[in-house]
Amino acid sequence: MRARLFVVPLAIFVASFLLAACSSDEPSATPVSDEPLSEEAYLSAITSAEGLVADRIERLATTLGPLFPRTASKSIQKAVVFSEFEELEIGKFFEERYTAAAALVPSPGYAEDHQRYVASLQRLSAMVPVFESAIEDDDFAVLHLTIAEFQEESALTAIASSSSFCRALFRGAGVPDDVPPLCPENDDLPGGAYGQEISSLSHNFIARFGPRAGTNAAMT
Amino acid sequence: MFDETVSRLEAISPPDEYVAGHEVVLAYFKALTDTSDQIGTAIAAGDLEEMRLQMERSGTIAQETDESLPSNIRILLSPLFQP
Repeated sequence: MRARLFVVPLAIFVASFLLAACSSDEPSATPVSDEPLSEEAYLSAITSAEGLVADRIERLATTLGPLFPRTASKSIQKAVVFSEFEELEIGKFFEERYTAAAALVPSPGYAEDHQRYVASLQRLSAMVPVFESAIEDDDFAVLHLTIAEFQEESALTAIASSSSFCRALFRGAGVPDDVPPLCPENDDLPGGAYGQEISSLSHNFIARFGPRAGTNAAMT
Repeated sequence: MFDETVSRLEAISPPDEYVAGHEVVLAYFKALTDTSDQIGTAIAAGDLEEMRLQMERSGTIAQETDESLPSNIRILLSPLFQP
């Protein structure tokens, strides 16, 4: 049995969610300049900014990962989940992360990645009221769906990005370079056009399906 | 939502060396599409226990697929299965 099955995607989706969802109480690492950053400096800024929230990512992954949503029907665990999310102040961090990302001036080679990323953060911010209402109402079903939509949005943004940008995001979230299976591959795949098509389908499928239906269930 | 993925897979004619794996992958995506539909129905009904059961079913399907997946197609499915 290849034990990585779905376990890594769980970490990825938790991280993906928090890539957009969290920030830090510390000052942002975002440079303040009108000049485009070099490619290296830009990716480093992305990684550093995400690194500021690594503790929160770790907290959510370790605390909630084994609980949510696999054991959703157990009320005491639901209480833990809602308590954790209330403490995280998701809405506040969504807005702060969006503001910090939008202030970055990317190198020309990452302009497209940057535009996609910032647009994604803006969409995520717009989804926050639904998320907060679910917490306020203790509505676990809506909470699950909303989180899935957050995760899906983040995952689809990551896999649509260049490999180096995608890896910078995950690196900042504490995911090692050799782990993130969602990032697009630079290496030639076998199978020609068929291989490319199957790979693309599998990336998109797991980005959409994993958050909604499968990741935690496989964690035994 | 996932019907499109299944339709695209069904429309593909894999190279000979991938025919066996393609069938496994197609069955996998079909089964997960079904669990996704079941989960959506359960959520709409507020049936969290059924939601949990269907999520566990997703995991079982994935593990069973993992055991029967030909090695040559694994690398094409790296987000899902370890090569």
